[in-house]
Amino acid sequence: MKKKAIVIFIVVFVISVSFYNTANTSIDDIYIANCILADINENGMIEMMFISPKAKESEEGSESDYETKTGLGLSIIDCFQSAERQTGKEIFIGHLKSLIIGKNIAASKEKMDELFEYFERNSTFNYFTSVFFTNNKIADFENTLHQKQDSTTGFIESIIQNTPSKRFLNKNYNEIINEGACYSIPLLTVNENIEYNGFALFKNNQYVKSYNNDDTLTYKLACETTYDNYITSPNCDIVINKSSRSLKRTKDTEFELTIYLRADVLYTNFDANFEENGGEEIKIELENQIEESVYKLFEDARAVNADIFNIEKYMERYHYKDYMNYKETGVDILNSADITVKVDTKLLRNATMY
Amino acid sequence: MKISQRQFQLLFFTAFFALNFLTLPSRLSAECASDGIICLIITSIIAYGAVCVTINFMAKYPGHTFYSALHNSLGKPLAITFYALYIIHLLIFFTYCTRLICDQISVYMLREYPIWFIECIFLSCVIFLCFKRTKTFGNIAQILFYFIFISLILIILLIIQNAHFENMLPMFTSSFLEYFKGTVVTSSFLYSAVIAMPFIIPHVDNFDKKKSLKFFAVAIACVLTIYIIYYVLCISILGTDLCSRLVFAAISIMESNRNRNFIFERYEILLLITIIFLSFIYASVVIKCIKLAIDKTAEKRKIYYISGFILIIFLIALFNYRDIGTVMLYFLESSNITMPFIMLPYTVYALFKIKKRKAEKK
Repeated sequence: MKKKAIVIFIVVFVISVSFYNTANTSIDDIYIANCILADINENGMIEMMFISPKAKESEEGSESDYETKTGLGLSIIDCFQSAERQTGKEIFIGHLKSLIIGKNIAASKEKMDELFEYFERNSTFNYFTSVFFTNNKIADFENTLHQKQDSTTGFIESIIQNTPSKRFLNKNYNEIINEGACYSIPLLTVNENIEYNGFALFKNNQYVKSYNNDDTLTYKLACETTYDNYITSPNCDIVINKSSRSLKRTKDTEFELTIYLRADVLYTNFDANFEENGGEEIKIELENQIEESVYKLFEDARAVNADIFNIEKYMERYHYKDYMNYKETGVDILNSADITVKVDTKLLRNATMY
Repeated sequence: MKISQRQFQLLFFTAFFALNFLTLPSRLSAECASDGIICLIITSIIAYGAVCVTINFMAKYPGHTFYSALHNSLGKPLAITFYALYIIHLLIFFTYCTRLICDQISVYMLREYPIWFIECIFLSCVIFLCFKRTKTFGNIAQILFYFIFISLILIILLIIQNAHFENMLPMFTSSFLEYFKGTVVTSSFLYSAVIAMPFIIPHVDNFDKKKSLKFFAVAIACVLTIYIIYYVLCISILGTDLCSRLVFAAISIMESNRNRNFIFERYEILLLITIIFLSFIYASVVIKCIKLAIDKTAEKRKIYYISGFILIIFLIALFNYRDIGTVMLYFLESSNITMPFIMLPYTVYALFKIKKRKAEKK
């Protein structure tokens, strides 16, 4: 009797589960947004464009391979709801690859916080989403996207032309959250194509300043490990195979930033004899150029009170006691920081080989 | 039919993982940033102490049930008090575990299903197993143990590629109070299966005290290592701030990893399946202990069974009242109520020793 009761109980549950399953969401009921653009329009409304590559079956002639839906509202939730009303589908951000932040929304710390909070509250949000900044309007992106016929899973990499992804400054959401008070994200501009055009500096989740592509290389050399970057000086063309960096505190608020380069010389005006002097002239010219540009970038950011190399974060991580002392005594670490830049280059090939 | 020594060991090895495995990084990083490793080590040492005293105590009364061991050593009033405390803790942990696992299933797997529906299915499976022989638990634990262990290691290998270990810095900067708070948080649920041990030990065939003590030293070290690895990985990928804001940090990481195009898309399902198995074993052991307790003490079992299950449903309804984040916070903020679970075995053993000495003096 007892066994029968248990069997009946299980059968009833299995049947109810099967029936309940008919109410489940199918793939046709969701709009999978691979890229989101967020900005504030002229009327002060938040505008969000949700971009999704079209399914292969719908390819017809010159039709765009991207589907876009725009949501308008006073809050981020309003924008999502507005877009959902248009599509009749739930906006799904589990496959989000790129988040592009517009200039107007980036200027408002409040709205930026709201945007990030919304994503963090969504259980499906991808924390490895690449984050970008743009000075262009959402409509510019829309026009360019509708001329594209190349939807791939690499999405943003496929729409940014002429720049191999290896040389991007690429920042994921989880990285910018941990970067410190200041973080930098790639800058996209729309001309005929969507192009990578430098980077934007943020402080306390608010846009501060943009930099061009040359500054991006400097930033990357000073802050990250990089691979395969080209650099041109007045007398030589060089490909930096690999670069790494180390920031050390030498005394109180004195820091030493060392950049290690492993480079190939592509072309040079110098009479470079590596066997005799190891390409000393090339090295000196390259090192001076990089040192100068790093100083310039640091001072330029410091002028707007932004800690572009995250010296404060470095102090907090590696010299916590002193960091806390400075905080308690009101010492401004950024403005009292004295930074020395050193470049240590190893040239791998003789230019005459080319 | 009794379970073998090996099955008993594997059963508790697995059960030590279960409760709050996924919420641990979040809560611990909120209390003491990246210094939670210290709290985990302290908690593990305390837990091993609790395992030792429990095994020692039960070994003094071979062939006795937990209640009769308590009765013989402490006398009736204290025996009833401690027995009731054990059962109350088991009930709280069981309902909390049910709420957590069902919420995870509801959020990440069966989005369309209401939480009560998932809870009903989970409960029906657990209660079904509860009326089976103790040997069945042993067999299940033996089968699932290897799957769980391998998948936990596989998950570590899958997410380690995204780790930035500098996010762990600065380390060892928390104050004594923060370490204490962190330890209270972890010791309020980690290794909570230890209080189920005295109920199961009488059902172990040829229980070997020495073997068990040795095995659990290694087992707790393994569990601690995996806890630490998960904690470090969550912080090194998400950072302390973001990690403390997310309820299920490890699942969020696994979900974000889905774009990496490796073998299959939804990595988080692997983690969730592992956690479901862990929770299933934990909840089954706990509910079995409650049933054993009723079996051995109550004469009118049916009334006790019914009232026990009504109590469970009431507790689950109570835990369902708010969203999971709030429930978790309430649970952890009331750590001062649940924390003494780890002190129960110590207290019982201390009282047993005191009574024994007094008796020897007389």
